Amino acid sequence: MFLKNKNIFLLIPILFLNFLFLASFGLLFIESFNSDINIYVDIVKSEVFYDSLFYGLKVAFSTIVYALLFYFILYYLLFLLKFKYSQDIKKFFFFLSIPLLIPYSFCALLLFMLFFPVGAYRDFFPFLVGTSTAVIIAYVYKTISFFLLVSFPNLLKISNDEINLHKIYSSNSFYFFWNILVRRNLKTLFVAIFVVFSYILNGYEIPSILGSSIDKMPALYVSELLGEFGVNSLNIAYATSFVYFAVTLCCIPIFFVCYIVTKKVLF
Amino acid sequence: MAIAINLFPLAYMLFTQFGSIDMVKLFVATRNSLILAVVSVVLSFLFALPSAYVFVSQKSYYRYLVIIFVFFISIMPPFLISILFTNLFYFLGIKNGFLVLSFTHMLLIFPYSLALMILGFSYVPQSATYSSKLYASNFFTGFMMFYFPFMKNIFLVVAILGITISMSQYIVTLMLGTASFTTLMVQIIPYLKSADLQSANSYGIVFIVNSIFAIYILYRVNNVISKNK
Repeated sequence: MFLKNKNIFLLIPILFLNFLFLASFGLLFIESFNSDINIYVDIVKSEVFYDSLFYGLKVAFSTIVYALLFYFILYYLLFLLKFKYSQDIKKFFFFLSIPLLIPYSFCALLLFMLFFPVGAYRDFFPFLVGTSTAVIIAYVYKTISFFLLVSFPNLLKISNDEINLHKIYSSNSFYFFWNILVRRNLKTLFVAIFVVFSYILNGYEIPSILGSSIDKMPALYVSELLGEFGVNSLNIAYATSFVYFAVTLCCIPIFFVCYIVTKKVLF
Repeated sequence: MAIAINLFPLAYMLFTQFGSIDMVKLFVATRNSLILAVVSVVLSFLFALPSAYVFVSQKSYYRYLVIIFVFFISIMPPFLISILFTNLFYFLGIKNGFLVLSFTHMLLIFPYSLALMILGFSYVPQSATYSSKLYASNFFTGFMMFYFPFMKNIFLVVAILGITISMSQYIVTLMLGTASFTTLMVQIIPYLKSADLQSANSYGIVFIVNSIFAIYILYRVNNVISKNK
């Protein structure tokens, strides 16, 4: 039986959401084809489309690389606290979750108000203005916390017996960290990386506050298309957003292959 | 004085840059942001709580339904979600901007609230689960008596996260909202684009103060509930 007891009514909310989601997706897909199939051909041939896509990919990958770097350092420090000094790391959970509780727009506005042309510390970091650096900093700040939180349960799960066993047979803490803890986290981490990648690739608020006016992230490009007044502009915007989403979905197999290769090469 | 300005630039801006903006517009935008955030968080609780409970208590194929849905929602860009639902609500003839906005914001909060509530339900000890099955007549009573004491901190985190996500949405609110219903983010971005940085700063300060205020109120509410319990 699908559900064993009378809790079947609890399924109604999620079924309702699934239905609405699928209905809206199907409706939009049909409507984007209604006007002209050549829209998709034009989009794929457009140079601006590729420019914004590559810019989005550049920002997304840079953010992931920097965030992973900081994540490994912080995660290793947390691990050392537990492994070497037997500290209760549960108390760090709240501090780790603080950046996640602060909105993206909050970070972006704070950076903007402090370091951008009318900001109080505008002379300190002039390189932030008009480049992708500020966008990457704002994203990295939130992403590190997200990576740490998704891999936090695995750190908590390590038992004292396991630690003692490794202390007896191998004195190297890094060996334990890399070969056991990181290996256990690998799957979760790749899912988290993909979620972050898709979020950044399609993010709107931070690039619109901190980004430059020349290089445009995909979401900014689509919003510009939505703002244009033309016969087909709305359909073009719909179709472009579909193509970007399709690109994101196409990245799932790539990430999966990367996961398998990483697992085979590193471990 | 100069040292104080350099140390507390936001406080300095708060006092000096407020004269340039329309206070009525600012008040309306702040009120709308807060109401919308609270309603979408309440809606996300209503949708996520039963789903999380079934996810944890029932080991069935239903889990895959939840996982696939949440995965799609979390990787889907907000602007695409707003396009999807603009189209759907237009097709269904629903023209209530606030209802549409609250529902879409709820959808953006849903993956996070569901994940956190699943985490919360899995922390509830087995004894409480058995007690709720034995002594509670229905899901609601059982939940309030046996689950709520263990999950109130998770609810706090979900509420804070939900409010911050809802308040920071721009493109969704712009596309689904009406001209009379604007939020703080909808006011800020056009100022940034038109290079009116003073006004953008003023709205930005209100946005930041608002977020901190909402988080503080939620902490106070959580403390009061904890003491009463």
